[in-house]
Amino acid sequence: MAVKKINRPPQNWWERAYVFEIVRGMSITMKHALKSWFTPEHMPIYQYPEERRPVAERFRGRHRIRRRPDGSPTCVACYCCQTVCPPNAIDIVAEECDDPAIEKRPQSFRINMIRCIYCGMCVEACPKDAIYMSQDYEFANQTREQLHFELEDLLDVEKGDR
Amino acid sequence: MPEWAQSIMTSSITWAVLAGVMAYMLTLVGIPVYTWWERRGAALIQRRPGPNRRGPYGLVQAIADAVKLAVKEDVVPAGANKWMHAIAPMIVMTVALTTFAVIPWSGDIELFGKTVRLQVADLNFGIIFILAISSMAVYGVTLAGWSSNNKYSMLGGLRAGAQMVSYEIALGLAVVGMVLVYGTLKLNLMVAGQEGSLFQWGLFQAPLAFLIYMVATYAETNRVPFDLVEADSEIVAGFHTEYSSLRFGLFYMGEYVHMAVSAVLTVILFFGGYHVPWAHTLFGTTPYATLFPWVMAALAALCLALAWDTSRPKRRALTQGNMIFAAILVAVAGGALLLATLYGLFYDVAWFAALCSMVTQVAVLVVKFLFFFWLFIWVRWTVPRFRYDQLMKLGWKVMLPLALFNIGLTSVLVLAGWL
Repeated sequence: MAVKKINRPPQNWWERAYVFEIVRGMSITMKHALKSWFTPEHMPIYQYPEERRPVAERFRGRHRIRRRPDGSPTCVACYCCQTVCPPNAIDIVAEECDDPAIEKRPQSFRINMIRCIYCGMCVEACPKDAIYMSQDYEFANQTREQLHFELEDLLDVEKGDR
Repeated sequence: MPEWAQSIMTSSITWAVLAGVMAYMLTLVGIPVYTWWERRGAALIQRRPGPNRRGPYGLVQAIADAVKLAVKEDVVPAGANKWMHAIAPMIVMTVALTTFAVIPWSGDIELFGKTVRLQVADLNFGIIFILAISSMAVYGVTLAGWSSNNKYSMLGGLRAGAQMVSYEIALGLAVVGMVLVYGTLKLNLMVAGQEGSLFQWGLFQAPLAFLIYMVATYAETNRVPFDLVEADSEIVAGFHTEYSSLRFGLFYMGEYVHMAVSAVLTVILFFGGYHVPWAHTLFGTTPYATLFPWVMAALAALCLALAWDTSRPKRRALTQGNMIFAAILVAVAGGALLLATLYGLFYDVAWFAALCSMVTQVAVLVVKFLFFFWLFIWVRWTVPRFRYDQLMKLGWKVMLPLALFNIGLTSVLVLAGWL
């Protein structure tokens, strides 16, 4: 490894005395403290549970599966998303559908949210546009099992996500 | 005033106990507030709100922290020297609290023909007592480092030993300069020597001694920028790495008590103690020529301002509005104004006026003390930590010669009669 020499400008006596520069630094920190105290609304922060940072339009949060008008999942259990999923987070079991026009439907559709890397490839791969990613990112849970989302957890909700 | 009440009020024991209570108020009762203040001050400097959820301004957070600390498991590491491990935090805490014994909280007050003072022990070697006792804190820190059977603790203890001994010399020599200026070792006489104009204050009598004293104080209390003893980015937590529960709490409280004692001592040595420049805290010709009503009015104004601040709606949930807290503050403000009015009415009752002037002096001392406590926090979030060699270089090559020079200069000035 070559040594890179950085030439710093030599300190003058004022800077070398250190005390004056400390006083200057302290005036800066005090300015910030007073600003925060008197105008707290200008702090660059979000008071999390009450205030939330707006997420981007294309933010990739938890998955959702669209419903048909009759309420059944749009998914046809084609395994495209399962095949394309880089971390193998999706696990589908297919079964025959009563509707002859549809052929297959998922018996179970499980996404392991701990494995998922939120890449959005499943959304890209879906031929029926059944799976999409919502803007919800708050699904912390107590156990790993609770983070294995089943079809019921993934189906579109009435009001939609936040 | 009945006879027994007079004898109680003129007894030196009463005032010693009250001074002890005063010391405990500022330390043990104050510690939750100080920790809250430290966190809140840090947050404000870093443009964030800090603990603001529980209670008014987040004040109850400190109590929650204390409870959490108290109910934690007390772990003694395997291979530790159990006795030393147990004794070390006690030494730190005891030593820090003992130094409060000689702090004068007020000047001499005439009560029923007797002179009393709010001070536990009026030792005639007061300042030396403080230096002697507080330098024993290094035993606690090094013992904790050695007895923990942990390399990081050991390093912290070693650093503590070297650092505290090095800076104690500069600290002591700076104090020698002040002893030369005041010509006494008694703390109350030192304060008495600073009455009058602003330029009677030790700060203006010996500015160089003040600078050395402040820097050495920060090193003695192991505060940033001299917190190499517990440098968390290098040696985990230094000497108290292996401490948990209330033993860690004792170290933590010991640090704050040490800070408190240093702040009070700074006020006493350099900032006129309980004196206000150009103002007489004791007796004036009219009630409002003394400070008491004005101190009370200032307290009332502060309380009302805080009450208004807590009760007004905030656009963002940065502090919880709390009507009970606001009501308490308004009550305190009312009480202060009532006292001021009483003072105006019963100004000629000698003992009442004397007690009021004592309250004034304590209030002035506490206000100055709070400023120096804030200075500790303020410096902590401004100045980065020194490197170890820089610390030693500063201590031995800069502070020590400067302190010696200061002693020579002060002696010449005192002999020439200019101080």
